[in-house]
Amino acid sequence: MVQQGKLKVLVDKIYELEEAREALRVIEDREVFGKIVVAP
Amino acid sequence: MKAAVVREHGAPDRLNFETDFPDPRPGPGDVIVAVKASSLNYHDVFTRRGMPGIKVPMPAIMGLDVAGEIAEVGPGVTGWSKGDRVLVDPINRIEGGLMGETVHGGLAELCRAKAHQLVKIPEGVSFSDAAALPVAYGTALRMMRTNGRVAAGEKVLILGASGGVGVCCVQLAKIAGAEVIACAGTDAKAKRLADLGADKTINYIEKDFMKEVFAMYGKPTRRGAGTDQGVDVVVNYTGGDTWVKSMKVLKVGGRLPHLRRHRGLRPAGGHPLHLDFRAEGAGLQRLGAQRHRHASGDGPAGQAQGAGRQDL
Repeated sequence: MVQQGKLKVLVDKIYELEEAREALRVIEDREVFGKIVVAP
Repeated sequence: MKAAVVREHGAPDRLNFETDFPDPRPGPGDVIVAVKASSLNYHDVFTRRGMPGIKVPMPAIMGLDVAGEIAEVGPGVTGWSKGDRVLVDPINRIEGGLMGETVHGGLAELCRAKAHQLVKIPEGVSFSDAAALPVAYGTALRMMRTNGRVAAGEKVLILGASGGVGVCCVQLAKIAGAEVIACAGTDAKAKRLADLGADKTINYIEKDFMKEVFAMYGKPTRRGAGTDQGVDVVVNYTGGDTWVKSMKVLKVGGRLPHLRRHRGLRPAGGHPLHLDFRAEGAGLQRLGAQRHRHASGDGPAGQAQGAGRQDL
């Protein structure tokens, strides 16, 4: 579905590995819309 | 290697960036993945805090959803080569274990996984999109399809619709032809949910979602005119105080997909678990989001192995 474009993958923000704590904080504090990704 | 490491459970400051964590080595049947993207889930918050009954080996590297390139192939592994773009099924379905919890996950430069957990990432799907899928979108797929069986014309209320699971539930319910009522904590999020396809939105901070649903679809009753009022499905992965209201807005025979690990089945104010069973007696179906034995080929593994492999 994703490959065909039927389903959108909503990645809200991509963080560096160094920012992992902040990346988890936005999930914990419900500031997110969709997904949070960490890219090492 | 560089890694974000938890050495003891607790507050947010227990998650620390380290630069000299030992590199994983591949054993028989293993591959080492050079991690390009790992998506976070609320599950990771629970892992950092610690959950009763779940023993997390320390130090822990969180991150259930892992996508990357194979950096090294262990003894006995066939069919995979260095450089392959792969997504890891978070659950080891043969030996047991969960990425980012009982074994080290994706918040590191390198990650060890069993070759049988790998899924090839198709052309045109980015590492970050692939990494966003297994846990959250897999959960949504089970809630809306496998377990929830949402059908055209049904009314589906989604609490916490802005989260990773929620944004997928909104889309899947719309694809199924349902009418979607999405709840959000801010007007900005509500607007984005409407843009995503939600037919109606409720700002649950400003308004009582139960009263709003009553105003939209009437108050469900077990007998008489109210049996056709309310909504068919409530997606609830919030738990806590929302349980009672979730049940009150459900039609007789309505479905309540939920998670096992939420903020507790017991709402504040005393109604213990028996509320659920009483409601079930009234025709409510309480549906987990876990994969049932009869529902093979779906879920995070589904993303990975069966229907999901095409779905990716």
